[in-house]
Amino acid sequence: MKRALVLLLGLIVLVESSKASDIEYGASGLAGLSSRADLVVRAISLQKVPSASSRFSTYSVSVGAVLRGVVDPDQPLLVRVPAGLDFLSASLVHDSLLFLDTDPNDAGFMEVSVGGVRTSLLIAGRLGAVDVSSSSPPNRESKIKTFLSIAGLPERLSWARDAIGSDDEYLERSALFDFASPGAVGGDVVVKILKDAIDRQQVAAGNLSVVVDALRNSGSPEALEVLGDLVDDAKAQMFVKNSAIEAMPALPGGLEMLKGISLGNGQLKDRARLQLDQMQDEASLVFAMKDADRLIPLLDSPDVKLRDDALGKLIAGEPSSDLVAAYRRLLQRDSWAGTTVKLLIVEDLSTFDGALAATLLKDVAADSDQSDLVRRRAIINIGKFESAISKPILTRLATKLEDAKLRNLAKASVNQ
Amino acid sequence: MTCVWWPLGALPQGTPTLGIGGPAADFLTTFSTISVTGQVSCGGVGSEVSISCSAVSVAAALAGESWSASVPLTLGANMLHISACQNAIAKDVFVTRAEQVVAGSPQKLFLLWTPEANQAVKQIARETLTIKLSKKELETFAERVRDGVLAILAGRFPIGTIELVDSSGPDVHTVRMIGAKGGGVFGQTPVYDCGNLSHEGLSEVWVGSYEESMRNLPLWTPMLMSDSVGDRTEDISQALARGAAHEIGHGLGMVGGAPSATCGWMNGCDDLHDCESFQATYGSLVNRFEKGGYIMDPGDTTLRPWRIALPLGRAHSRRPSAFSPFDQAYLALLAGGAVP
Repeated sequence: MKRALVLLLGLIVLVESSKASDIEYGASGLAGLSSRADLVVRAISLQKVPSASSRFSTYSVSVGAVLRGVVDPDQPLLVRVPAGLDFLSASLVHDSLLFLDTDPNDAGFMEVSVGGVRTSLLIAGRLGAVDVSSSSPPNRESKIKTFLSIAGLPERLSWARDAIGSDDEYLERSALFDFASPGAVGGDVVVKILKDAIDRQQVAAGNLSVVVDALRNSGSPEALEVLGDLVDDAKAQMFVKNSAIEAMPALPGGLEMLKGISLGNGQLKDRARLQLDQMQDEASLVFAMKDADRLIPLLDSPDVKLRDDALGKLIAGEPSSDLVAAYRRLLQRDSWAGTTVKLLIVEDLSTFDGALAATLLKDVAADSDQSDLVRRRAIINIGKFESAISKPILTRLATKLEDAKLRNLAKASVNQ
Repeated sequence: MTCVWWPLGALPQGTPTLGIGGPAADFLTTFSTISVTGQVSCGGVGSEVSISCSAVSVAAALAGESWSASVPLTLGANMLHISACQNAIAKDVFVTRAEQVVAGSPQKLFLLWTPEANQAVKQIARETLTIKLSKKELETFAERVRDGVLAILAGRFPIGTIELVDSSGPDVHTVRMIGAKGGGVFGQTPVYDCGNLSHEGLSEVWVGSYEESMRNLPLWTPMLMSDSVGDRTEDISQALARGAAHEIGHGLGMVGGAPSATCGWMNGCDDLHDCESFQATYGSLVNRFEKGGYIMDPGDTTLRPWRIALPLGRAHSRRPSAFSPFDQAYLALLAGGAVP
């Protein structure tokens, strides 16, 4: 039933066009919003203001109350929202708390004011409008007001203890984000709060992965125990268990626990082994050399799809001298490879060991038929080899290259 | 999607085994039918395999232990339920039939750096390194970051799906690297284009927001003030390239799902991103969310170490985010690489 519901949700069609963006970890949680906001208001309604910008939407806000900061009563409160984080419809946003930055540094914006009135930036776009209407969970507004007035750690922990396991998933997520952000409050008290909530199965399923983040962030050996409980919990979703596996090595004793799981017969043993492999810096997509033998000739295929696929697999695979030779052919002037593919090869060569790959990079750096970008990356990537290999090559390039900028780049790379 | 869930019958003698050769897990196609193949052994009883989905049941053709069938697909999500040996053994495969995807050509990309973005990059070097760089060294630092972003960006997309170019144009997606900062926003793409119907597009990466955030360096562990200039060059290049790839992904139509009007078959969520709840629901049948391990994961749950390709810490080699296998398949479809 739940499966069907998720898919149905995926097929819902709304008339409004969609936008998209990228925000910082936890930015939509109360701590993320509050730390960036110098003005917090309760909006009764928002009305879109005509604006020439396609990058931002601007709204005039009808203010019901001011929770933090000052609003000029003689000026309309204008709020700017990045287009990629705009509301689906302003009519949906009423009785919300808005978290605002009244003085954003506008380097690169060029659109500080609308109609002569300075605008404020809505933190985290529409995620910075928190619903406190009558349809929101009970007492949300008063709980947020309490959060905004908290000054000390004991009060903050007490607030979080109440929020985690409450009926308000947003407040619970906010509290968890507060624990999960590096440098935030951590330690054994937090672990105990989280352990109690997990034991009582109070945490909303959608917030469990943030619990894992918070446990990892705590650095506490007790947190490892809770992660172990999550892995063993028959009711926990596989995704949460996988997250717990990935978090283990960050905690004291975690590596040993991970090894124990990898040697067992549980359903997560393969995931644990993969994690251990990655920790040993082994490629997760390694394939056998016989595959490389089959793939390298395909790089000369006239079938574009075939040769692209082959190159993708070779880049994901293991280095070899045959592959260096194949790359050398592709880097020649008359090959089919354009700048984009040559860049990929130059990046891949930097992951190889040994002088063969470094020598090829040197030849690329010295080849005036290559684009400047490819030559510069070749020089920089030579610097990634161990100094016994890189230093003599870069020293030679620093004196022999004709282009002064490239010479200087080689010289600077020797010294790093 | 309507799927038939067959109850398991009584186990036959011996141990039945059922292998699936294809399609791969979470396969994406534009075709109306799909070839399903594999091996079966029913341990002494007569072998039979049937595949059901959307109220259609197809009996597989058998040749020894091999079986194959051609199964019709509905638009969007299809759960193939493959059962064998009189329902003694069964497996599920999630397959998506894409809509609104027209095979085109590699998408041209142009990165436009503004002076403010360059300033922000230099400022990161000033604020996050103990070593103090001269004015000239800062210029070199910024130039290396610009090169690094391009080189890393090229590697984030499946080969043959993008082409880096030197200028904007009517068939070019331009990424403006700008100095903007604020609101915890790392970037935006004002127009989400399901199916990449218009090859001309625009995204922004707010380099100033990275600078603002990295001022609080402990947030960005394992970055340290004592890092080398080379480390920091790579850190910032990785972060900005990932941010650019994420925004370009939106511009190319990822990841459709509510509330988007189109491409709901992608089953994204959280404002057009890879969907944690979808992953949680479908578990091992799909692989579309990894807290930042995938480029189109939502920023709000993307752990910062993923942004600098160091999820396992500085002592390990870089492990950059990638597009999820499903998103990679979509990009390949856009570039004309449909697989029947």
